[in-house]
Amino acid sequence: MRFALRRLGFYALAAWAALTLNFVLPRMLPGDPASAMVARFQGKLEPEALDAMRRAFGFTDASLVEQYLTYLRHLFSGDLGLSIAYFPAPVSDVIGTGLIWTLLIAGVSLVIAFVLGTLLGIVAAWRRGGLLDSALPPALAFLGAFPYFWLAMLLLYLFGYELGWFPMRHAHAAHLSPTLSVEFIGDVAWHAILPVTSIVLASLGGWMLSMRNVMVAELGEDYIQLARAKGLDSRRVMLRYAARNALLPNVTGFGMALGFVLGGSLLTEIVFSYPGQGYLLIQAVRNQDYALMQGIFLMITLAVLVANFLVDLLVLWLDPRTR
Amino acid sequence: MSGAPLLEVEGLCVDYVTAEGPVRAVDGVTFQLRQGEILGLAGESGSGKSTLIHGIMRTLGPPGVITGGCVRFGGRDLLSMSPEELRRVRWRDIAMVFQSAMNALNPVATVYEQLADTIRAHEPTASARQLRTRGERALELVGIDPARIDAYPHTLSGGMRQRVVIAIALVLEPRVVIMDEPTTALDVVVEKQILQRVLQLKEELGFSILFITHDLPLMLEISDRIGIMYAGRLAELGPAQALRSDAAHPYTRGLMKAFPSTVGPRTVLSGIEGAPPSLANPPPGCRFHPRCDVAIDACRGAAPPLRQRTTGHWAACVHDSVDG
Ligand SMILES: Nc1ncnc2c1ncn2[C@@H]1O[C@H](COP(=O)(O)OP(=O)(O)OP(=O)(O)O)[C@@H](O)[C@H]1O
Ligand SMILES: [Mg+2]
Repeated sequence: MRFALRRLGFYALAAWAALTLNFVLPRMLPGDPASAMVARFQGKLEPEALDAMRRAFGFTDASLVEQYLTYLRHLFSGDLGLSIAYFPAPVSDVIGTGLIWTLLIAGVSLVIAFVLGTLLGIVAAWRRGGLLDSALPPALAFLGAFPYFWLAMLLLYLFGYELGWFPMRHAHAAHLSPTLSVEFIGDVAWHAILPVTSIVLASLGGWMLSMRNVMVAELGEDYIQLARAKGLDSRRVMLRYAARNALLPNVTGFGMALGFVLGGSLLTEIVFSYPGQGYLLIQAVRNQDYALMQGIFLMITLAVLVANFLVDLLVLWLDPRTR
Repeated sequence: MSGAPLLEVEGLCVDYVTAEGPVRAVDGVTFQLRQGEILGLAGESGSGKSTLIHGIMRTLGPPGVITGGCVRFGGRDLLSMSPEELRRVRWRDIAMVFQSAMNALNPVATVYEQLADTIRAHEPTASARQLRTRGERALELVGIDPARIDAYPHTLSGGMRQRVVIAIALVLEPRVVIMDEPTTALDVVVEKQILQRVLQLKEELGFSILFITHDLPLMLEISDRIGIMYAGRLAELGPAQALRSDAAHPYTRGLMKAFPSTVGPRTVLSGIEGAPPSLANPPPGCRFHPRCDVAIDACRGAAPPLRQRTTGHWAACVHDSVDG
């Protein structure tokens, strides 16, 4: 329990640092982005939009401390300013829908890659030097060496364009509106297959290799020798003894990998025109929508922190030594 | 005190397959462990004691391979058993306390789980209640409060962990318990406590013990018979009393002189000059001859076989008497 609270404290601190960085960075740029944009959109933007933008950045004549407090107040009331790209929608609304799609794609592929990679790693270590152990790691390392978006483009080209088996873009067919119907969920899954597969393929090798290596080391430990000698059947030695211990460093790695996978899934979204954060990010960059960009970075950072905290809780539950 | 042979080891050879070729760590070791006896095994570090007992238990991991000999328990050859037959005999009949007993517990399973899965592996029908009572009784046997049964290993002290490992070895009430330095890394008081407990249990449950320690005085005190290993071979084997007063092998005598005697007159302590030979490239003949002060030409020729001196007292030395 004390561990959990300490971790919570740590993440609160990290979140605060991210928020503050988000506030400081634009103010360290030469000139201020708001004025730059005012000049840029001169005459093309409604005055209220400009106003909203300035407010969003908190670029007022007030002192830096006051600006900072205003910024925090806005943030905690969920006010991230107005989006330029999707004017006049508030940034929080724009991000809100995008976030669901990103979490869906990144979350599902992360869980699939982790579970599958871990299982493969367990079997490879258990049958060390066997077919699975010799053939799969090089193949997966090869796949993992490609950038995420490259694999995504390859799948898109092969299975979307050439063979036409899967849809090539978007999260669901345009004629369906989001409901909890079987038809809609099926369609979302259908659209998710290619993006999820590309992320899984790119990250599977890492999970498998690290699980395999930790597990091979674990199998040399004395408690494994005792477990075997005292007559436990192999399945119990493999799962309850070796794998259960080998899992611990891997789960910790899971937390650290989240950031990378999220980053990778942003690129994948762009390839599949998937309406998640990555797609939004492109829109934001294209339209110089600083408020949206900042909002997205903030959301991603917070998502990674929350996920890491969940992983810590998982480790707490898995490893009695941390209690 | 000692009865019929229970565990028979005959000409056992174990090699480690290394990049430079096989290294014979145990070379033709023959001995018997009798019903109800304590057989001590001593010898310098690296003389192959652990390798020998892992060979007996067939718990050698790669690169260790058994390259010859046989191990019989109750007349059945352990080395030719199928994995399933072996799984049944091991622990049920012969259990073992590993040298590194401190690391022999699964860090993420409770003491109860590790005792219970031992019983369940051999008695699948045991009820949850039986598992718990027997687990608690095993802990009591080694002097641990049964209330600690649901503890995780890391919450126990080193000595308690070693006792838990001993409890795991005893929980099925085996007929032979092999103990490889079960009390290393413990202070003398705790060591004595644990050993006393084990000896008491031996009287109650009537198992035989094959016991390895570097503590020669302790070994002389508790063993019925003692085997001395040198560079993978048995140099001497005999009743503890005979080895104490009448060691026939110069190496044994060197070992005895390396320890202060707790009884009798004070003698000058001396070690044995030199270091044990490399097993990859052992000296010809008697492996001890380069360090032996009574070595003669014959020692460099063929390896001397174990010869009986007095009844049950064997030594692998060309000399007949202590003084060559
Ligand atoms: N995995 C291995 N690979 C190669 N050689 C090994 C291996 N394990 C042990 N040996 C060698 O086998 C010999 C015997 O080792 P063993 O562990 O049986 O000695 P020991 O008598 O138990 O020593 P100690 O008293 O230190 O425990 C040593 O020379 C050691 O170097
Ligand atoms: Mg040893």
